[in-house]
Amino acid sequence: MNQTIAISAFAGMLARHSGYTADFCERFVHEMFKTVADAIKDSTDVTIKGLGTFSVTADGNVAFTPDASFAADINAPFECFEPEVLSDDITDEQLLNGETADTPLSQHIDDNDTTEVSHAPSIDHDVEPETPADEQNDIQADEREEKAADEQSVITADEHEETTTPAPQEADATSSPSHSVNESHEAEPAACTSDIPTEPASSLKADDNAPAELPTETCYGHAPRRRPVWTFLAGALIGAIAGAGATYFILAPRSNEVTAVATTATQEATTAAPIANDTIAPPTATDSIQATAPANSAAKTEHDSTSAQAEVYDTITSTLAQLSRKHYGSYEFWVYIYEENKDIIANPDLIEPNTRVRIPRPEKYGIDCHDRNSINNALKKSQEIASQRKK
Amino acid sequence: MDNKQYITQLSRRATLNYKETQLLVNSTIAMITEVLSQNDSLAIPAFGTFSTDKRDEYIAVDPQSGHRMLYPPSISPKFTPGTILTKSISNQ
Repeated sequence: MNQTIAISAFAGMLARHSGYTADFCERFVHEMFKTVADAIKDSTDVTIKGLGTFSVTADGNVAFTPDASFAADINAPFECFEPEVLSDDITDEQLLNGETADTPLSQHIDDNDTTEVSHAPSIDHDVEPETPADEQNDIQADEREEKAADEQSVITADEHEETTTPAPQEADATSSPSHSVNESHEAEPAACTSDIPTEPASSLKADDNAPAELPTETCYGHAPRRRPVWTFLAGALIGAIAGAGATYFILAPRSNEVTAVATTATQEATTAAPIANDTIAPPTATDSIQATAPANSAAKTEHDSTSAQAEVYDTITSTLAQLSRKHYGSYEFWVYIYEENKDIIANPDLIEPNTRVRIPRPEKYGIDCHDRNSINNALKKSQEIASQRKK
Repeated sequence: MDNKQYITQLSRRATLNYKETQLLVNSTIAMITEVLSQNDSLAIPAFGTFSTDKRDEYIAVDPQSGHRMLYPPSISPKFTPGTILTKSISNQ
């Protein structure tokens, strides 16, 4: 840009363009213009096709008249412009302000603006009546969703499927009365053109009494929205059912365990027989109670239920030893947790995270973090487990 | 001296045949056009400088129709002869 190119650089460009050496190109360009210069010295005009004519003026100057094609190539950026006739009503002041080019354009723009503005109200007309109905619809949808969620939390997955089917019918019943034949469906084709093939006919009818129907339209405006709402609801319900089913299957084994424990506890509580008490897992606790109050069955049931409730569960985050320290105050007692959960834990060195284990009561195994013997017993047990695992 | 004579004379001086000279002159002119269209100027030693002249849009009265006309901006090629060339002419 605005650089002066020397002949050596120009020769390099020419060499790349023509295929000759740069040296030769430089000499050639020299010769080319020296020929012109020599001719001009003899007062002869030189015409080079594609470049122009070099001539000598009367006062001894060199004049260059560019060739038409050469001038056109140079003027390429402004080639598209044509001289324009100025109309007489444009004053010099406007010209000075540089508004000549703008005035016709701005007029056009103004025209467009006015037409747009005139169109705008009609558009608003079509849209506005729908909005309140839409809101209503949304609220309805929200309510239904909430209802569905509540139901889901209470009812199991299989039952839920049954309850979902009546819901669409219900809503269909509520919306279907709104579709009498004479109603205006003016907004319907506009909102969703591919709704139902019979609708154009009804809209034709509706056109006759369209202005009278405008206020009522607010009540029936949700009709075109019906399908999206149902699809949304159906999607939400399907998702909810799938989620409930997935959680059910994942939690099924553990919940069975829980229910099994609970049922055994309740059975024990209801029978309230001394034989049943013998079968209860923590023998120390029940035995002591049996000793203190063997005849009082009511007291027994109470205690049994509390002992069942006192079953502690915890989720393993890191290791069994950590869990043992948390519950018993020392790391060594992890063996008892392992003993209690052998059915869940296959390898005590490889615990799957988020495994839920039953924490046995300390009395069951005589766990006492301050008792040396208890800790030694636990260590012995852990060695046993290790040797068993080696086998 | 028209183009044919010029090319003939140049081919003799550059020890090229007519066709080669014609092609090389054409490509030289194309390169000059390229340089000038980039708003650069080309200086030929002992001859002069090729440059461009940009003229802004202007209003003038068309002498033929008498209307006031708005002429668009334009870029025109310009040649400024070097001092060696002008002196060699004026010495004669």
